[in-house]
Amino acid sequence: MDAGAEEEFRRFVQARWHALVRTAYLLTGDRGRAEDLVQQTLVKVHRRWAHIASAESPYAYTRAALVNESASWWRRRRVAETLGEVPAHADRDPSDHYAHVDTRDQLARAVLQLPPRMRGVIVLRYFEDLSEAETARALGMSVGSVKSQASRGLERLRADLRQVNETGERSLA
Amino acid sequence: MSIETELREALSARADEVPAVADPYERVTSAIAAERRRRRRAAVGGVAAVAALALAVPLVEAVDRTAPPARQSQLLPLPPASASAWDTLATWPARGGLRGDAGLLAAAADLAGGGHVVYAEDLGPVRVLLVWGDDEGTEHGRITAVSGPRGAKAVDLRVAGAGSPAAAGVIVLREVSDPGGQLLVLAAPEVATAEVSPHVRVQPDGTVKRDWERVALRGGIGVLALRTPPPPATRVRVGAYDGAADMEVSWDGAETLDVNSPGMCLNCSGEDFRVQAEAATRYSVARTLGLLRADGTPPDDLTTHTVYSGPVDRAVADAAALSDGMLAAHGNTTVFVAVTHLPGGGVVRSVRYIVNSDSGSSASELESVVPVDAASADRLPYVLWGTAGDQKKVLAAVVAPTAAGVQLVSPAPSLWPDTAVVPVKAGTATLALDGVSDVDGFRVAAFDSSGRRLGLWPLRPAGADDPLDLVAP
Repeated sequence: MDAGAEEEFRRFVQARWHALVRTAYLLTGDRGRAEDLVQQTLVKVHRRWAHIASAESPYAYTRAALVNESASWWRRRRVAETLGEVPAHADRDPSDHYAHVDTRDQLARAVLQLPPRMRGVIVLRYFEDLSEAETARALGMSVGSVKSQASRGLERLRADLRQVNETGERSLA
Repeated sequence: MSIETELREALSARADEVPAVADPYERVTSAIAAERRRRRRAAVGGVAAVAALALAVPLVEAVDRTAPPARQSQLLPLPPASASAWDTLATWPARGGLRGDAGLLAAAADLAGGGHVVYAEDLGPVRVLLVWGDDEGTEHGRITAVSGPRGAKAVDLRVAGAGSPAAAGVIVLREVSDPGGQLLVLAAPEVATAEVSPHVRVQPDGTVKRDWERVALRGGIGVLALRTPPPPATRVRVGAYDGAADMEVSWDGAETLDVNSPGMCLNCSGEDFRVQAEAATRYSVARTLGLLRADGTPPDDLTTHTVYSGPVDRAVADAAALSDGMLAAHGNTTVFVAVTHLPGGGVVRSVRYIVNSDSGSSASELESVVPVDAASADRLPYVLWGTAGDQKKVLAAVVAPTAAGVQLVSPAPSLWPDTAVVPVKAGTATLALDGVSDVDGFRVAAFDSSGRRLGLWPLRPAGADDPLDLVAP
């Protein structure tokens, strides 16, 4: 890569690192793993930077790579093996006095329990606010699959919330 | 508040827990450097790096990217085209502008573990040396590709890949470093032209067509710069050779990134498995046929859907030797059959199987890209078969989810009777052919619930052995 392209890549990393780690955090549930995932993705992006830089949106390209990387089966297995060991809110600031179970917290945790592909759809649709077509293109699936994955994902999240609420009500009773 | 709104707020709040980092570039560049070192070590250790590639419909753009010889005065004259030295790769002299650099050639041969260099050249930004070595058990020996940046010294060279020569006097090599690609053809100097067909067109009736381009060789060598890496469906005619370009290397040894190159999710189930398997198949078909767009994604009008995804009879899986020794006591085998509609109306079928056992999971392809008749693609039964223990019985699992019953129809009923019509349960039926060790000539019939025959197809589809027309008739 020539100096100009390298400088362009440097600026891209500096500008987009934070946004990518935020997305990766929602996909992995762990800040360290999220940073590793972004780093791994950017290493691969760097190899193809000459091509990617001329693409319509290098960020969209990289974000798609990130989500696909996180959903690859081997990573999924590794994450699945360890997710159970991650505290419900492992990275929450200890000084946060609102670390009790609340709806938003439950929802974010429930997203992590979704299958990886479904999780990718949910994050791209409801965090990145991509359209169904944009999500389909990013994940290499049909729009119909995106619709069904999003619908099933939302249904699972509703069910999780209902279960938590019922458990909470019973424990208060 | 709707679940969607709550979800947006929840995800946003969760993401806000990630603190900003001052400058992550240093971390990334360190990882890039570490990855390069790791790959270099792996390559020198003899690992042939074969890349997964972004492919698009390639067209031959240029015929010569070789550099002018750097040190012409040191180059020894080559034997005349009629010399016997060109009869076999074992006696080919080195060609290319760098053939006079004895140190470079020795280093390349050393990296390859012996043999001699048959080609040494700077091609655009890379330095390329091809080493031929005798390899016991191979028909024409072995080619090891050694590369480095243009102008690289001997110490900077590394092994980029290895493979077999196409024929006794022909080397065809697909170079697939993103974003471009090259097709390197080496033949004896008397061979003046080659014909290249970078991709195959699948017709709606399930037949295939190829377009050929004639390219001129110079001294028996052609370096064809392609807009995108040549796909696996590439076929080449040069000299006495007519066939696939099987040898694939990446000069820089790096795997390429394809954002939409999803793999199978082996430990998924249900819809999650299906979605992932369809995405993986869709990508794989586009890649094989050279239909990926420039950004590495399949075109929107290339769609894949599942025909069947489910278990297959254990006895048939054993007979077909699917498990390859992996099937443990509690293992099971899943077969995934998908149909992909291509731009232009062609349709291909892909079949994969997944063995899940106590010792792990593995997946493989039974059919990667097999063109089928678009009119009956969804109804076309897939038959998995194998001979049972005594080699005198064929067990077959017929996958036909749209049928109520299936039957194997004999080519010689007086010798081997047709099977009974067996009901299809959950998409499949298991049938047996007694006294038969092969299925040549057998056909498979499908019936609806009223007993009406829906179709009759060869059990082994025509062209199944060479679905992409890669082998000369």
